[in-house]
Amino acid sequence: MTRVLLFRLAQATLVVALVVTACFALIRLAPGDPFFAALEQPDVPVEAAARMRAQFGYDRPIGEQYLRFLSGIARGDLGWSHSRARPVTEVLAQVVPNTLLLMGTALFVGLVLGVAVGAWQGWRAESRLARATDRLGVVLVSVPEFVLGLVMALLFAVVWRLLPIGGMRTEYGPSGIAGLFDVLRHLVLPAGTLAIVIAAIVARHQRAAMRAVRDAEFLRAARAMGIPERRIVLRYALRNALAPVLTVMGVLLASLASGAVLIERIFAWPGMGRALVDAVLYRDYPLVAGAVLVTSIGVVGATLLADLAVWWADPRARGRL
Amino acid sequence: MNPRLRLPVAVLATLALVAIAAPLLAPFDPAAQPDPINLALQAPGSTHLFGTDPYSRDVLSRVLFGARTSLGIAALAVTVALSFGVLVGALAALTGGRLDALLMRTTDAALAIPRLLLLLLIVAGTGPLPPALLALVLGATGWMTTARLVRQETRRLLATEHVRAAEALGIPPLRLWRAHILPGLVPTLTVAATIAFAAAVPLEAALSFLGLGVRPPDASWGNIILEAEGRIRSAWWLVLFPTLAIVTATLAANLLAERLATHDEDLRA
Amino acid sequence: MTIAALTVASLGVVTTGAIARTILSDVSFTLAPGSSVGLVGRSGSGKTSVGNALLGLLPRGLALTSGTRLHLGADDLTAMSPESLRAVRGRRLAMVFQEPLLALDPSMRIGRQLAAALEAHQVASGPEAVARAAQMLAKVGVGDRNAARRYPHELSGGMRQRVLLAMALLLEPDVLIADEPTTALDPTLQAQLLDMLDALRAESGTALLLISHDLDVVAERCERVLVLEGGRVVEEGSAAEVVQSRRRVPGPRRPVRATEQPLLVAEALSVEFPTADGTVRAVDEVFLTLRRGECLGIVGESGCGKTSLARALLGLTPIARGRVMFDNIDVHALDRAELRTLRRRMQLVPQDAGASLTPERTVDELLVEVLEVHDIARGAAALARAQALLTEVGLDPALGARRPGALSTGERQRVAIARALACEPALLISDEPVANVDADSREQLLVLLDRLRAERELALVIISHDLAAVGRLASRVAAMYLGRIVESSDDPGMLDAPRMPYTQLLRASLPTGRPVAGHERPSFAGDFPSPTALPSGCPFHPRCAHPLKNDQCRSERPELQQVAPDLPAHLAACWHVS
Repeated sequence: MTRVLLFRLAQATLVVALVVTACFALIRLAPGDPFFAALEQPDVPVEAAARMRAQFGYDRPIGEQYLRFLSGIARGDLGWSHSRARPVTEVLAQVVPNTLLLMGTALFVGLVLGVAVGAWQGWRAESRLARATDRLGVVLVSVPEFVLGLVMALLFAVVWRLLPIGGMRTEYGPSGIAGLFDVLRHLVLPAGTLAIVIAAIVARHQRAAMRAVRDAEFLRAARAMGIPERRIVLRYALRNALAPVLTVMGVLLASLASGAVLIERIFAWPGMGRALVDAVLYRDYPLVAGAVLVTSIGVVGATLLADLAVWWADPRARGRL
Repeated sequence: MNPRLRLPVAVLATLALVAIAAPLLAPFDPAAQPDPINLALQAPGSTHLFGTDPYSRDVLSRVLFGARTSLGIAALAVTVALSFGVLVGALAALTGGRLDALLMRTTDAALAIPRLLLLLLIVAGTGPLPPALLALVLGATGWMTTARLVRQETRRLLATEHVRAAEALGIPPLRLWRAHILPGLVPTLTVAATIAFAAAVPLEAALSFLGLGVRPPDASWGNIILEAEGRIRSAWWLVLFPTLAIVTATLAANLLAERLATHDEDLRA
Repeated sequence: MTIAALTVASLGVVTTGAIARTILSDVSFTLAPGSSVGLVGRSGSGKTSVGNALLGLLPRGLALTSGTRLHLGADDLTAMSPESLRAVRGRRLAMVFQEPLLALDPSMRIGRQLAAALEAHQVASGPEAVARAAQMLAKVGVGDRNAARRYPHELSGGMRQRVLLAMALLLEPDVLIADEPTTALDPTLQAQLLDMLDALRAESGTALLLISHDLDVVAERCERVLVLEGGRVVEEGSAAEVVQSRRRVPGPRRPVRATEQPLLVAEALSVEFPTADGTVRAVDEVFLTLRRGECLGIVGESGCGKTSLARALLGLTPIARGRVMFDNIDVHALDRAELRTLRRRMQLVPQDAGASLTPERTVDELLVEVLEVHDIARGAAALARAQALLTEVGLDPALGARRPGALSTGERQRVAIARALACEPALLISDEPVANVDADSREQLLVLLDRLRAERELALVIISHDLAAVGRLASRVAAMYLGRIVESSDDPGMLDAPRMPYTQLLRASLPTGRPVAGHERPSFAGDFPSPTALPSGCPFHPRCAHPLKNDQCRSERPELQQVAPDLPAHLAACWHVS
């Protein structure tokens, strides 16, 4: 078992290394000098530009820059974000928790909803209600998240005025426990939109898995032994149908990460996605690279955890990962 | 043709026809701004069936030409992704050993970054791109799933009795690939292409919506919606019609992919 | 008058869709307590639905007809509530399924699955249930201490089937339905399982309904036999009666003619595979020779290395030691291009011949391809030759335009043979030529192979676990066990009177259609040993019941030696043959 675990860790490390290199490539090899915009003012002397370049090591050979970059990451230094006039790490430290709150809530709600609905759909696949909801699910999967977000914003915030339209907090709003509720109110729409997207994906996989298990021979064998039906559904069928859903976790996390970018933009949620898009628009390469790096490492780590969960749930998967 | 496949194929074919015939079907020039002061943001009516945008451009024409752009980009992206994916996947499966490991680890690494983020990373470096290059970049970020699928299928086919038997009969490798392995890959490739298409359309729309994809005055379904930001209530037509278009295309492609996959399973059983 | 354990009257099953198809029609029989009835039929005869109908577990889309009467003892199964039916299942009426890997929950330990049955019927619970489950497992021979904690996929096929048996008989039901319980097993394991079933039944007084496609197996074990065809009972009677009426006369053996020079010589041939648990010797120091016009038969069960041997002889699998000489050429010393040229002259008809045909190509394309690749013919000439080949193997040339999926199993087997013959080989190896075909095709295929051997002067190698098939075709025979040749002879009569205990066991395990008397079969215990952990000494000794088995058997591996001075060509690897 440990052999397999070590192998997966090595794999993950390799992946992260490649991602790091890609981010470095962006920063250093992109056309245009990141200092150009900041220094495009007539009264800044040329020497100041040269000094700034030297300070950030932009005049050294590529190899050395790469090593400095790597050591910087190890020390937790991701460079300077010129669009926000702060170290990248500081910017990220501010926005990442907000994104985690959003993604975490969406993932949890989406998984629970998706598994429940999908399992029910798979078990009772012939009923009209199941087929209708299945069609709805197919449509939901095909609607882009940003459109769904816009529609949700339109309905709940503009038309019905039930929930706030954007942001994470009301300006000059309450603090303490009331402040917590305020955040939750702002969380509902963005997280809800993402949760629906997640649930739609999960439900489809769960449905397929449950359908496959439903007609499995070992269920008939269990019935032939006189095991009660309820136990058969919960213990025999569902347990075997959960593993396929866990394997799709990697896809889910990627969807979440992409979705977060768009949803944060629509709902003005102060998270990493929004910071990333702004950074791209401002050509703030260090911040772009930093954000992408952190996200990728997060996705890789979470996928690894998910694979371990599969390994636990399906004894057949042990020994080969 | 399997009757269950008829509907999605028909829908996609219609969309393709509309895209090709856009110049003939569009009532107005999609880039023309006849009267930005008085004719901007008109609700749908008899002259402008889909209304006008903030620059008084006709939305219907923009949606029609947007079909050209968006679908064209998606199709080109799929072609690039599939070609590269088949190359990588087949090479990995046929050579095995170190090259296989190297190719697969690279694929896994490329997959680790969520696709939208990868696109943002690239676009940050390149700046705004013309539609053709945008399609190329989309394709360059979308070959990984195909490569994995092709590698998996090729490996499975290599181990099948009929390929081993053909090998035992002395059939040389190139002929083996063409006559005994490739035909077995066709179902997988078709499904892969459909899935890739279904992923490319909303991705291009998202990029354009963020202002990083197709730039005006060129029309794309995504950048029409962009103009509705902040005005959702008052300019709902800017959201509705492009959305319907995107959803129709994506839905048809997803449905086709699913039914194709089921069709293959039934054949195999 | 005692009530029958099971009474089936006018059992009918139909499909419930738009068009009602009849699966079973008017099937009736009774099962006396403790007795046994066999149900024989081909696939599609509806026999599986009998078992499912009795348990009330017909799959979606099937239903009982209204005139059906099913009685378990004095109780009417068709009139029971779902809860009563559930209480009956497992407790009074149990079923053993065909594919143990599919019938066991892959995510639950086997001890737990057994205990669950006890708990569901409130016979025992908690630690007592676990203990009784372990007890039952020990009874069926899955007794190692950790067995109950294992998952199904960790056990071998034979052991899994025994677990299913344990589950079915755990609650000592009145009636046991066994649906093809041994089809996936080798003959020796098959016999062992059925013996165990008989022993357990005798203890608990359970009646048996045995469902199978194999008349010989059923007739050996059951007092009465019913034959099902197209959903109806077409024949019924005692086992002996039914066998008699359906028996076919086997054809005569053909004499063989041999030329002088051996075409194929294998010396100390060994094939090894590295696996996670160690190195497996699939083929271990095999010697054999073969001339043109001769047929060599190799008998053995799955896992004995016969397929690896076949592939090694043809150069398709690398060898670890020894050599293979074909027409005085060292097969494994050639490079890929030279080997491909040599392939023309030595061909393999693989075990699952149907699967060896690429489904997307037509038969003509497959045959023409071989001809073109080996530069024998092209274009129209090639097509003409392809049609001639089809005729030679007894097929209508018009079948050439079809794809393999449109042919029957027997036809596909013949196409595979035609394909192998396309390049005019001198050597043909056929792996399990008649394993998957029905009785009619079996006969025709054997006749075909014999004719081809004689007409084309082929050197023919037949590999099979079917001793009768091998005995018919081969002039020289050898038996393989765990990669070694353990017995060989120039007289195919060896198969009727083998000397080596394993070959004797193999012969005795094959169902003959006559009821088996306990003392006739050499008894034995255990499964095949793991190929990475071979026993010391004679590899067969743990399963051997020879009365003279001694310490030498356990410590020293016997080499092939003459069984008698007057039979110089009959060799056996056993310390106690001569």
